[in-house]
Amino acid sequence: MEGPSMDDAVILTPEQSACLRYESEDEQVYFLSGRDGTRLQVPKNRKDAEFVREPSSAAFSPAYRLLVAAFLGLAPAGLGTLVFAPLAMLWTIVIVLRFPLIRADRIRFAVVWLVAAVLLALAVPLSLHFADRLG
Amino acid sequence: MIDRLLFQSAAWFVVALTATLLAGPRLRRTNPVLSFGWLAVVLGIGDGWALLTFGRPVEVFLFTGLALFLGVFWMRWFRDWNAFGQTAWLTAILVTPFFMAYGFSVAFSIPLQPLSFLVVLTFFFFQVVTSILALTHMYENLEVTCRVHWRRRLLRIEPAPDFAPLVSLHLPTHDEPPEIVAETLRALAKLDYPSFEVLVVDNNTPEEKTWRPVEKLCRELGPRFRFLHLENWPGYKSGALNFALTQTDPRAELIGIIDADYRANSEFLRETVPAFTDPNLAFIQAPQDYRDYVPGSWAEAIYYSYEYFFEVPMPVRNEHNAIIFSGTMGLIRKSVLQEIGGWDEWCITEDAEASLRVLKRGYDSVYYHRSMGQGLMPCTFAGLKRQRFRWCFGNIQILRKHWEALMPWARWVDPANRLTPAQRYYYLIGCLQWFSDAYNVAFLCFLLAGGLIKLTSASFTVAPVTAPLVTLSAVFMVLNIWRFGWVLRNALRLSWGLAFRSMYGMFSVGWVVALASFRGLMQSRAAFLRTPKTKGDVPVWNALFATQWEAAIGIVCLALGAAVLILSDRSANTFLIGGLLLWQASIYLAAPVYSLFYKSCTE
Repeated sequence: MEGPSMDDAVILTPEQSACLRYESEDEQVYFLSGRDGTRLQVPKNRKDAEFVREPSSAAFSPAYRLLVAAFLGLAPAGLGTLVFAPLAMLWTIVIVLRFPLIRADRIRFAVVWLVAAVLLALAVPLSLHFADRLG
Repeated sequence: MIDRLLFQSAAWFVVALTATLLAGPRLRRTNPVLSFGWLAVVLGIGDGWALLTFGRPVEVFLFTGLALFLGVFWMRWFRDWNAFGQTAWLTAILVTPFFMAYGFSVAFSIPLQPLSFLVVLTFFFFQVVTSILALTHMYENLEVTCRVHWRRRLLRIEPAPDFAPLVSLHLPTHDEPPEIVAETLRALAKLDYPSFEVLVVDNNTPEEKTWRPVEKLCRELGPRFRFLHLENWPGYKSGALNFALTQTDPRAELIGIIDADYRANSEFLRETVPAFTDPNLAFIQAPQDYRDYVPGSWAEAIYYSYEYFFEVPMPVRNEHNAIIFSGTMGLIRKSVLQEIGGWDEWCITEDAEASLRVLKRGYDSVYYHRSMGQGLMPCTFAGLKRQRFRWCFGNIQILRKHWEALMPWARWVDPANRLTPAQRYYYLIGCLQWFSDAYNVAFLCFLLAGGLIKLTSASFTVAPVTAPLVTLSAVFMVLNIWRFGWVLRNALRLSWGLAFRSMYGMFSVGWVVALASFRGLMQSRAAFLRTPKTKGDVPVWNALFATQWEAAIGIVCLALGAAVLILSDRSANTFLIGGLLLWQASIYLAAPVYSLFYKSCTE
């Protein structure tokens, strides 16, 4: 098992563990206090959680959200798609200009463009048909 | 041409599904000749009707040829299913796109005002999404009833007498009645297994008189039982379980989760631990089962609505190594839990979320299809709603966090993601199916608008209405309800009456699930709502107040449906709208009815 914190467990005595108050924590350790005010440090005994995304991939989240909006925008005759799909594409261009892209981000870029293009291909005829009815 | 292909495929589908619903589960063998023969019979019946009525011979034969061609591949792909299941699924796949295409073509061909056109297309969009979700439900139902060969089904685990690793059982509590926890601890003390410890982790219980008796009992039960009381603790249940991990005996190899109200069977560890002789197995899950219902009561119907998940989706997911870890009555390898960084304190269904991270690393999971312990259902309908809200919200949190890992391109983005396509499908669908009730609410809006338009004879269309669409919608709806009751009957071995009441038990929480789906999309975090298990009578007014929205919607649907049927013209359209409104009324009014009569936690 990797990680320094997984080999050095601190097991509290029954008296200590009978009442523990959380004070704070960092990536490795819990900082606690007992009922009598004693301070305790307990290693977390597990790897750091991998909950945080890399900065550039997090930057794609707005593009993905725009893509979802573009998908839902198909419902009103594709009108929403005509707005949101190009915005999603535009957003990815902003990311390209601002971040050095890793391989995963290049795939995300391609996915956003591909899905946006498919949605647009569906939305354009719908919108034209709607425009005909307006006209 | 689309309409003729729709009628032909609809005829096949109706014949195939009706036969499956009547006799599907009884055929317990697979045979390619039988499968192909049955497909030919179904196609023949549909073609005969088509040729005698609307069909053009060339079209009929070409389409039949295509269906037979697809059928050959289909039967190879679904070779573990019986002939009924294979043919029903193939015809469902064929009829769905034609139904959509026909609806689409009608929307485009009839003269509509621009606004009406927009509304019709929106309706159509929802119909497409709902049809896809309905197909996923149907697939699950057919797999569980028509699958003949189960490759991963585990009904008995081979004992391993020399294999008895130390198991640390974690029992998180928060403000639980001490007598309920005491019962749980006494059951654990009787476990027939040589090496285990029990860590009771009480977090943020405000009253000392609530947790002190539990602490005392732990001391009485001996050194295997340890008690931790945590104050001001963040992260709800997951936060407490993460701390329990730090206090786990370093020699422990497995972690078990036991909810505060679960009475584990004495053989729980003896039977399940030997599964871990497989070094790649990360977790095993036994069904969540309940003990506090009286046969014939409303609680029994709710009990079976709980059991549905462990009798239908879980066995199906297990075939593809795609089950979820649902916490209580499950064991997980400690090293794997440490490797994934413990329980996610952000997600309120931390157990299911953790299982996805485990499977992402390429580990195996297994569902042990045997009840190993029984807990308490929520005592009131309000508690039931609260629990359902948490499950739905938590699953949408999982979807929001992990959706990219479930996409077809996931492995290109993250080569470390080892989820198989089937695992990605089941996790994605498992989360998306929670939106079914939200789509039902959207449909209800269209239906209410349609009812009002019908009553006022306004010249506005919310959905295209033609005779085939009305007829087929009604037929498909009846078949779907029949299928739902049928799977409850067969998978849970229920009478029709109990299956019907269980089905309505599930419908009765539809509104709260829809709300949870909307909230899950809007906000990323929610408080962990503990399910109350305290006994006590609920005043009638409180029971009704807990379902005020459902009751109000149900009454509106009932009034409008009745008005449409009584006051409008005698057309098929009237009967469809009126009938659907009454059907929706029955779904929403089920909530106050269950709230009044559902009472669990028998004395």
